Amino acid sequence: MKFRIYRYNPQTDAKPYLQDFELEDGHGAVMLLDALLLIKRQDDSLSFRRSCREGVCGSDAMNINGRNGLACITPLHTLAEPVTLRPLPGMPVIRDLIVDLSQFYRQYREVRPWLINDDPEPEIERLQTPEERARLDGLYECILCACCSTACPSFWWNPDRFLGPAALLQAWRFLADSRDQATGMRLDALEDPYRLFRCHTIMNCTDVCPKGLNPSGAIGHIRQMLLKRVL
Amino acid sequence: MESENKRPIYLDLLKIRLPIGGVVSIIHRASGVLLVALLPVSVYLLQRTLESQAAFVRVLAAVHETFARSAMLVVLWFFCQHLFAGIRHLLMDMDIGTSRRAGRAGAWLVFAATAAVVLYAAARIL
Amino acid sequence: MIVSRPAGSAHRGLGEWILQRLTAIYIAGYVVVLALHWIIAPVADYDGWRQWTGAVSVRVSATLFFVSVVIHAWIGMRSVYMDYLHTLWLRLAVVIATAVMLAGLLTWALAVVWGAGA
Repeated sequence: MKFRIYRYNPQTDAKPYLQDFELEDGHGAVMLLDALLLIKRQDDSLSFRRSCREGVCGSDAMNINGRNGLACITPLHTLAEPVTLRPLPGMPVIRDLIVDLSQFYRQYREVRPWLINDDPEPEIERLQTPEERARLDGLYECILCACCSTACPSFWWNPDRFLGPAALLQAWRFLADSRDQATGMRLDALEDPYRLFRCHTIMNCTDVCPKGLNPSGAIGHIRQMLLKRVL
Repeated sequence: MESENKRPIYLDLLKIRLPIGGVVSIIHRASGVLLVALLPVSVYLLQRTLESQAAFVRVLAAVHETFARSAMLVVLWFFCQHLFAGIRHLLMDMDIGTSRRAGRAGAWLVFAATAAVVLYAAARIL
Repeated sequence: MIVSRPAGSAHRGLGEWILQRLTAIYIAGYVVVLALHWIIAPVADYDGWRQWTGAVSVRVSATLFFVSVVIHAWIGMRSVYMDYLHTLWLRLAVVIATAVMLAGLLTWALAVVWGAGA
């Protein structure tokens, strides 16, 4: 199998370039991450992040044949050759396939992704009905791999001012939580020309999410909530 | 910390695959800008038709020429693309067609509806 | 390190979003009704055209149309600039130019719609 991989070493390279690699068939590689680990045996300077190798940690997000995804859950047989691997778009490249996600995490922190509830903590837990709990399905599963935000044109143009789909999905996750008491404050913080409203429902985020979540739909729900409070 | 500023950013728009919804979105934007650019033309034409009998006849005659009709079809294409993509937006605002599958289907429908209207108009006026 | 000093929320954005949709609905409805009207009853001659465009209902609906179009275009164009123009003075210049152009266009369109008495 033929691979073309984006290479950049800040110490030696003035500019990034694509390097060709070849893996003979029958090495037993099933997922793209397996292949990457085999390629790393050929050239141990190749750098990429990976950890759980089963789509839970979100470390090995990259641009695979033009589309963001997780190498560990992308089956090799679905990929056209040469398999072209590039770093996540729009983020500063630290080295090879490793990008600097500081901006992405800053935007995540911006939505205060934790439960805000001033009531005294109950002895066991804050109860929810099964229905209330069900509203969090499709929201809490996000692994913060950044596939969605780095596929979003609005995030490419304004990564410092638009929060991006991943952060906004988490904003909705806490707005939708029956136990959270900071709804008004959260909505106030999102009422802004950039933070939320740079979203033009392009839906690249939903298209690309390796966990099958729907950030675009979540942003729609936030807009509806903002709308309801002025009507 | 100097190296941080020199870090390259990968953003080759020709190599990043744009999903069909993204294609509809960028055409929605481009057609919107073009329609704004064409606004003065439409106001000018309206003004001419109201000016005098002679000007009215001249505008109508011009509109019957093949070149003008082809140009009108192009403008109709911009308009329908923008209109149908806009309707898709409004539906999605009402929670209709927001899933990945429905979003893609809606994007294809925008192209299909636009093509249908433009082809129908072409058959009628060319 | 990029020093992050968040400016907080501007507490606006929703209004424009709503206006963009309301104007869109009016524009779409107006154009579709107008197109159907012309398909059913094509413009016959100059006098008929003058008489039709002279009706108050036609003038009022056309006024609303042009106002909606200008608002819709203003919000839409600003959105384009917010995405692609990141040099502040350039964006300001283009925003002002757009505002002048759209204001002029509206004045002109309304003069045409209401002018020259039927």
